[in-house]
Amino acid sequence: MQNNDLMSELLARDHAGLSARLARKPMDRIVLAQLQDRDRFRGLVLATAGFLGAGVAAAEIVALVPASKLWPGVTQLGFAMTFLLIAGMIGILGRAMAD
Amino acid sequence: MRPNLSGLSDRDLVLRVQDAHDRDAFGELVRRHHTPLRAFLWRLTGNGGEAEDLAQDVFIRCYDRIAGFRGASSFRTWVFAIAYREFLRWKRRGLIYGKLLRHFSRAPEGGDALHPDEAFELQRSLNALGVTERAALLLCDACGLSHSEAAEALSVPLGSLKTYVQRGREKMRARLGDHAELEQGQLVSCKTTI
Repeated sequence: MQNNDLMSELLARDHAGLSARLARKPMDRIVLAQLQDRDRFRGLVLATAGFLGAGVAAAEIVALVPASKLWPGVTQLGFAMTFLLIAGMIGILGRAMAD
Repeated sequence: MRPNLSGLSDRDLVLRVQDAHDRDAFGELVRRHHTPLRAFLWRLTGNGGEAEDLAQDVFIRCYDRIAGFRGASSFRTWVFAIAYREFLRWKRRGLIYGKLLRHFSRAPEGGDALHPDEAFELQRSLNALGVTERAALLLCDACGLSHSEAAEALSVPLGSLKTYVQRGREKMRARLGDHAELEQGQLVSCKTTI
């Protein structure tokens, strides 16, 4: 029993020594920086995916649907530019989220 | 300018993170709990570098899961529970390369409280224990968790936890007895070859 107490004391002493040493190297800033980096990365992925997705969808719609059918009075070029603008806005929104 | 959060309890800080994703509050929680957690992981893994990476992963995971923390246990117990699960995942991942890494890694360093030889013997004896025994012994004897807190952190029944601790102490004592003598809390190393 006494040996068990000594064993516990030894482990506690080792833990206290390690803790004191590790306390000199704080970790909070590293963890917070990692969280921020992860947010940035996710935002960039979202922005890229959103931009590409919207761009592809726009190209498909423009290629398949005549502008006059959905938006009377607008040329096919204007129709395409509108979709491109929407895709760009989604990209900018994602980039803003990344920051 | 960082707000002064040192006067708040862990529970209040957790609520701030849950309600407003307050990163300063989370930083304060990390500041309060990182040293015992890192020391625990260091002795659990036997590798300081791996323990550092693992500790960072644990805190990131804590942040991701904090919405699910209901305060049934203390924040400290909850963090240790996540740390233990992360350690098991790390161990499963590292089974193939673990031996190689251990071969090339430096001998575990001791804290300021122990002589490097003492720390080496201690780490070697800990490594010889089963994973659950090692974690149980470290949580109770090194980190100061109560038996019920440690049982909760390791997700084992209280009776089993007590058995793990007792068996771990006996194995440690038997193993250290082969290489060293315990005299008045001092580990006197008899083996000099590393």
